[in-house]
Amino acid sequence: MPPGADILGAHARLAAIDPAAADELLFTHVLSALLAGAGAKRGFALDPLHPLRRAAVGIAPEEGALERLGRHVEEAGPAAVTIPAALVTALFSPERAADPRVVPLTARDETLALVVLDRPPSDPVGFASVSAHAASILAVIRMSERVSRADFELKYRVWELQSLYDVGLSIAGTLDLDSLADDILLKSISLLNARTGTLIVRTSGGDAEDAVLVKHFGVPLAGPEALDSLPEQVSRWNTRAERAAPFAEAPAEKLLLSPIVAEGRPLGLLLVADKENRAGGVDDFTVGDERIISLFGNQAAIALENARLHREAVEKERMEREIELAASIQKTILPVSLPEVAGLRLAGGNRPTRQVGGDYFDVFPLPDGRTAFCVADVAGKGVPAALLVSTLHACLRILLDLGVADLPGFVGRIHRHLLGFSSTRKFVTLFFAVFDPSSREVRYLNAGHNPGIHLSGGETTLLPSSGPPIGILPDVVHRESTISLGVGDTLVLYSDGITEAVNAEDEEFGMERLIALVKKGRNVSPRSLSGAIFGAVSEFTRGVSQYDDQTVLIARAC
Amino acid sequence: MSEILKVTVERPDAMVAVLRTDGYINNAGGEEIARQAYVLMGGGVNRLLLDLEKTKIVNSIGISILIEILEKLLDSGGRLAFCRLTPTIEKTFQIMGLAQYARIFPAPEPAVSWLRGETD
Repeated sequence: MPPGADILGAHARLAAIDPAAADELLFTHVLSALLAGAGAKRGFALDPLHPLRRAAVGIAPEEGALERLGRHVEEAGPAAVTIPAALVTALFSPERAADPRVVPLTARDETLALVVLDRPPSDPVGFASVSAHAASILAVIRMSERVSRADFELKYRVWELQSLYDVGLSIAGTLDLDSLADDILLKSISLLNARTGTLIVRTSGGDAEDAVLVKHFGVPLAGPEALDSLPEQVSRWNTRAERAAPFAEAPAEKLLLSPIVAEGRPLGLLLVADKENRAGGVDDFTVGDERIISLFGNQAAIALENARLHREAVEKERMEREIELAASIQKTILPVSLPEVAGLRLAGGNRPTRQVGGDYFDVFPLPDGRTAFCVADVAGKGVPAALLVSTLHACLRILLDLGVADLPGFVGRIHRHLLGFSSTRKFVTLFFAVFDPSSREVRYLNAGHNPGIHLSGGETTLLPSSGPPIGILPDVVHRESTISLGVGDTLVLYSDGITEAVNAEDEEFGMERLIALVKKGRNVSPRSLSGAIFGAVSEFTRGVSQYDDQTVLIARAC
Repeated sequence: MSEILKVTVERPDAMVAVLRTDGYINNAGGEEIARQAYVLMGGGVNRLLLDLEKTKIVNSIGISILIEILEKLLDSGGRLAFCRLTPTIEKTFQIMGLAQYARIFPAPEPAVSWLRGETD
């Protein structure tokens, strides 16, 4: 054996390495065994797959030599088997090696280590056995690392699936958008190894169209204004030059964005930035990353859609309760039957719409033998309108008990009372009349209501409004008028729900049809005429849902 | 929530150290935990508790660093425990295999007892 080479000692050193417990000293142990086997004193070894895994004995490479070596290995790839002579020379510093040798340790076309010795092996055959021994150990370690990496990858995929499954469960189990948004944002950042992220979603429809939920992890990447110009597809911007306008200034190197779209409507965005790597740098986002963020974006869309549907269901329930309440209020106010009064035959009715509007009619026999009657239509729908009807009803009852002299004064008091209401939509159209059987005169006041129809001798006369509805303008004085109601004459009052009833073609029932019906009904009882009007309107609308209540009140002198 | 991790170290006794984290366990966060852990291990403390009460997010790089710390602790005959994990992080640790060799506790006290060898 040539002097210097310790083949057996080299094998013994290699045998002492435990492949299962490979640590940062692995290459130091391997290099020292190879130096012993070659009879060399100085050397260097590195793993071309992980250039930071390296060892040096007896040398202090020139400044920059290790960086150049790293670049060489990166360019040559993990199968590199040589190192340029100039670089080898630079490694042996400060003392040059006279005849350095590069020894690649390979297994199955794979370079496991690049070893540089300061001299050729003194026993090439013996050294070949040592290098084969070292290669076999490194091959086992590399295989073990691959298995470990594959195991980690597999577990990572399970984690990915579990995260998506968990988000799905959260969506099914909660309608708390705020915590769901946190969950989705954190899981996206976590699974994509991103450093920061932003989630922005429009959370409402209906009255609060502008409500936006914004979540940031780390530095904000975008603001709500980005929703105005969302890309339609998942977007990967690995350079600043590629970015769409709203994201050009986002404080990050690389961005990955998923629009959140539900039912074709853009609702928000999920944006993550800077996919980090183990070396502390930032990697490009990949097609696989697009898939992950797109899945989370879809989950966010489902969550938002669920929340919206829930909100709509709650709103619908609230409205139905309100309609029920409004209907019950109105039911207690509208007359179930009309009283028998001197000199008049009365008939009338009200057909509420589904939303419950604010039509009102009533008849009041007065202590002095006269009869007051009215038809009114208050602004709005639902409970507010029903309450206004209730107020009007109470006002009329109380004031009529005190007596009614001049109609403008009487209606003016109600008008001033309504003006004191705080609600903005509080006006009432009112046709108020008082019939005196002794004179057969009807004094009336029409405040913004549909014209009454006076039928006399087969001819009709319209009784128009003398001013705006009550409850709107403070300084309004209405004017009263008088007609004579001879025996057989008929006065027909109604609400706009009759004349403005629409059919499927969006055509209105109109005044002409109503007047024709009134004329045609001059010889039938008020009750039959009332029924004929409601019947004709139903025939006309043929089941089309109507917006307004329909009310008719007929008074015929007898 | 912050993406910058802070670590504070508490020493209930000479044998055990508690590392309390606040923030994201990613590459930088994991490195900071590892730095503190290796300082402790260099000083002969190889029974560590990671209290993650203020950590809501961890990524795969952070997990791989925690696995490296765990392996080094086990090589030196030490122990690693976690406590006060969010349900998401606990599930993640179960899936990624960390819970196979480290123990997870709901609170610091039983974790410290286990690290001291007072309980199984």
